[in-house]
Amino acid sequence: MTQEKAKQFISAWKTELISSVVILACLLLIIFFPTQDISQKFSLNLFFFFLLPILYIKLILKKDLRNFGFNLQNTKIGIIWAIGMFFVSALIIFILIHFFDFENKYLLPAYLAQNFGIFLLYELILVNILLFIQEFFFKGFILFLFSEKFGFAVAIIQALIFTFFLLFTNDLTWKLAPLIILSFTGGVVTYKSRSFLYSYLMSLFFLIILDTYIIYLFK
Amino acid sequence: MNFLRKSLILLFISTIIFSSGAPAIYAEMVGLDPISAAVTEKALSDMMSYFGVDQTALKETVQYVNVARQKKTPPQVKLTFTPSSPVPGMQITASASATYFMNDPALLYYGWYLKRGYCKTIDKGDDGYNTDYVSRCDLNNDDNVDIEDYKIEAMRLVASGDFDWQRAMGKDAPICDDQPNLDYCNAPNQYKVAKDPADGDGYEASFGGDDQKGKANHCYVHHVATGNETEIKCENHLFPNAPDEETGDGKFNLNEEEFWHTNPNSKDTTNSGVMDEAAVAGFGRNTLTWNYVTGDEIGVAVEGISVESTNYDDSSYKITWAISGNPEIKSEEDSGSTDDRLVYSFSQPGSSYGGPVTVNVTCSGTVESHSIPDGATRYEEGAGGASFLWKPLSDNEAFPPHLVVLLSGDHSESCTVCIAGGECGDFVGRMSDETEANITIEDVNTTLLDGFIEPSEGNSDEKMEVSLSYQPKSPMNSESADSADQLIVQSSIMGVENKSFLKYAWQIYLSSDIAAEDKDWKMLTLAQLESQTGLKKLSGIGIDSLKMNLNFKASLPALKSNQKTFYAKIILRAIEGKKEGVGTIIIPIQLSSSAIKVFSASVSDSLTLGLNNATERCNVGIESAICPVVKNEIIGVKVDIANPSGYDFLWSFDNAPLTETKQNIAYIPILGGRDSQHILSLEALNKTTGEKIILSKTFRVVDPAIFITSTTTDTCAPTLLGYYIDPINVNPNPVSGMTSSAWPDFSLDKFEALSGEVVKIKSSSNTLIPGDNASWIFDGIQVTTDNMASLGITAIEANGTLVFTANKPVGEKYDITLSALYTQPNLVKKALFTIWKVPQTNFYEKSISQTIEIKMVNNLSGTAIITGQNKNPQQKILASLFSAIPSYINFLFRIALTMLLILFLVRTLFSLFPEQKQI
Repeated sequence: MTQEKAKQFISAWKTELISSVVILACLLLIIFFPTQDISQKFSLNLFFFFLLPILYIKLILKKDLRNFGFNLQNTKIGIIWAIGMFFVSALIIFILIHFFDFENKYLLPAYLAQNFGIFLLYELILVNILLFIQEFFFKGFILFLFSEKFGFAVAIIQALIFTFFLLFTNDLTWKLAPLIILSFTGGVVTYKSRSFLYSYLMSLFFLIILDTYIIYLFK
Repeated sequence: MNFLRKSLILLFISTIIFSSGAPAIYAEMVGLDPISAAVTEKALSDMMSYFGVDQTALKETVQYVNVARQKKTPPQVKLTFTPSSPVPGMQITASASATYFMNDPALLYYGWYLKRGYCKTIDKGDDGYNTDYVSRCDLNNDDNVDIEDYKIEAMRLVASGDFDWQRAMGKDAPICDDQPNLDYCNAPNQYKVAKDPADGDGYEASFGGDDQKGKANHCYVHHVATGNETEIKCENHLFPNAPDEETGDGKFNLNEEEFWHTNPNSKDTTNSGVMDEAAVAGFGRNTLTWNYVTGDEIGVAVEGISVESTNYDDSSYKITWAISGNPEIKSEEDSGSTDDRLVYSFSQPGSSYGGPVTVNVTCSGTVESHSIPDGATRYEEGAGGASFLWKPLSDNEAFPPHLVVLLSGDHSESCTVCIAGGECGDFVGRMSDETEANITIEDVNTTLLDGFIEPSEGNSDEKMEVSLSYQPKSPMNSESADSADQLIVQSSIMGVENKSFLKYAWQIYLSSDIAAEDKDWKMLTLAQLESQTGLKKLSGIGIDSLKMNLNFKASLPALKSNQKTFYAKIILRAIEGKKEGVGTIIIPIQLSSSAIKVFSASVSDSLTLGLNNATERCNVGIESAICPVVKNEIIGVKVDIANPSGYDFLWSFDNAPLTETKQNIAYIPILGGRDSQHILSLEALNKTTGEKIILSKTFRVVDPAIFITSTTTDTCAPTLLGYYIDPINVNPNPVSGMTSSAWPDFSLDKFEALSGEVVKIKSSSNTLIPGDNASWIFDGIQVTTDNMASLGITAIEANGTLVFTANKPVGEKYDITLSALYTQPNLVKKALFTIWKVPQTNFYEKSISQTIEIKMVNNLSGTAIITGQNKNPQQKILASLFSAIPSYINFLFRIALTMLLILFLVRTLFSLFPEQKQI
């Protein structure tokens, strides 16, 4: 009986189980694959957070990327929820600033404050690309892989996975706070709108506003 | 015992002696004839002979007793000065040390008097006698600059200290005439408005000191020449007085306060515990401080009681004065007299002896009798009393009147003058000897002028003390920069006001003989010094030391051939304004041929020690200054000396003589712990010429270590970390764009190698390591002869050099480790145990290793920069980009493979797992 139940379980959860293996492999490879410099690290992120999941979706699961949030349907819902979660994120940041001296702990490289061109380059190229990759992996790939089985809880689950990943790969600093906040709020946006692109746009806009505000405070 | 016996005999004999003349006198008195007197005298003489008394010795002894009272030490005062050599404008303190006074020194009266250099005595009408002179020097405005003014000058300082008396004077202050804007020039004069008698600071002085109150006053003066003491009338003290006032009368009014510049509102202006009037009297004030001016003279008269009592029937002691310099007190009355009459002084007036009086003058047994008429107030024989003069009352009214008898000058001073049946007078001298008979207190006051002492003015303000020292202790000269010592000569200068503005002027001379005459010392020019020692500057400010590299050339005249030592005489002249100081030092400098060479020692089977000549150590770089050695190794040292048998050698290690020596060779066991330092010294003396050689070497105990170095630096070189500045050593190959003091700093464990080139690396150690103890580990694999080829190693040469071809692509690295087990060779252990008794438990083994990383590059960083190539920055980026491409592609390749592997595995899993049923 037990064997039968196990078989049934495996059969029912086959995709989720194997996908979990892929997700775990990606995360572990991101952490442990040897790299020598920044360009290789960047490439690593690109390959294991973006390319591998796409290949997995396309070649193994044989599914459409649109089913993994790579779409702009539900525009109205997406925008409404993005705006709503944007303000929620802003409120949380406001509380952090007001009660936890966040603006003095959120450290930005000094050259961003000194040169607007470099600031634009940083936000629109570097942050943009990394954010897109991460948004695709966590909110697109992970969230939609498990959304059928876990429902709304998957928004929290992927945020937790992302948070643990951040904490494991970085020192625990206030610089991670916006990303952690956005992982939760962005997860909600993604779940509701069935698209990670709204979450990505909201997060990008939020980070630009936040960095701008922090620079403004110290100017 | 001997002394007691003599004293008793003396006493007995004195009785007899003093009665020896008694018979004759008695006979005279009672009218016995001289014949009976002679018989009596003979009887006494016979008696003395019977008792064995030597009459000559007895007479001599009595003579000493007679004059004993003239030999005693009277009260004295001695002055000392601090500083002993004052500088004009600086403060000086005179301290009076009074001795042989009965009083406590704190109860004496110290009457200071100070003659300022600008107050030398000028008579009225003479040059210099002007209003300025008068205002500064005639302090009591009596038209006379005399001892009283000098006393006032001094005692004002004593009484007022640094009190601002002009401020107390307010609007009446003299300074307000010239500077009426001073804040106190509108203030009232405190000396007018203060409560009078101001503040109860009067003091009533007593003769002989403060502790003599209530006692009878008997004043005496001591005569230095004769040792006699003359009583004088205690008329007054020697205190200075304000005009129309008296010091020490118990009243100190505002006029006196103003005169003495004391504080009218304070009893004790100087807060010394002494009332102001007492301070003016000099009560206990045994020091005086003032600002010295050239020509100042100081003196002091100390009033107190002598240790000698008077012979009055009371509690009195002799009141006397000790004057600085102990001048002779003279009576003005008798100064310059040529009268050689003898003066005899009696204690009573002549009338006390009754009348008529007969005076007997006895000279050498002959008696002259002079009958004085009854009631005579003066009796003389000869014109003007030249032959004999009876003065029943002395002319000195100040003294209790007494009888004085004068004899003509042809009398002998041994004559006695006696009242028949009464007292004999004291011989006080001749009239021309400045008789002591008529001395008054005024004479004592006048004598103060002879008591001035002038502090010896110093020129310490113009003098500096310069001393020089040098290091190292045994400097070595060498034409080779590596072997030459750097001589540091350091100056130490005392008496400098501001070192920042001190000018230094150095001179350097060389000679081959330490005792050469001045003309034989060859002075070196700055150009010579710069070329041979690196010295660039010899004079200027701030050059308080000299640092010179001892690279003197052999062609210098001072350096003779075959000479082991020459001498450098270094003179420093330091100048600061008017002040100057000179210091000189002669430094022996050894020539490098006499350097101590260090080798590892070899030990034969028979435990014979020898030098391992192939391995000279500590002869380059910093090791030549402090030689690193390892614990429990045996070091051999050697000095190259021609004909060592002609020398006596003394080798010392940490000041203990070495035992294992063979003339110019010695062996030293290193037994100290890690980081300990030891000094090896050699003193060699030429038996024939007496030439000395003194050398030393410093050792430091370090842990055994091995190092890996590249022998093919064109293909493999240590990574350039950066540059450091060495302020002392100049880089002979200066780096382009950097100062000549910049030296490259290379890594010890990170190397770069050109990909595809042959690399040779070898090991070196700070100690001997047995060859079979060391092993190479190449990228984590121990190298053996079997796996060399597979590791890409071409060969391991006999000297341990590892040879391989760096085939890895650019960006890859080799990790190479050399490990060894350091232990003392068995023979060394045996030698240490046998010769130096080192216990076997001291021997140890230590694993030592070093790991280097060789990174494959296209260009060696050190050479690229050293050659000064200045590539275009853009080209550099592109160059690094293209140079890095292969590794990136490699990386992409690996990622792609990984991805494919994952996809394959996942696909396989999907195939293996049962079909997922859609609900």
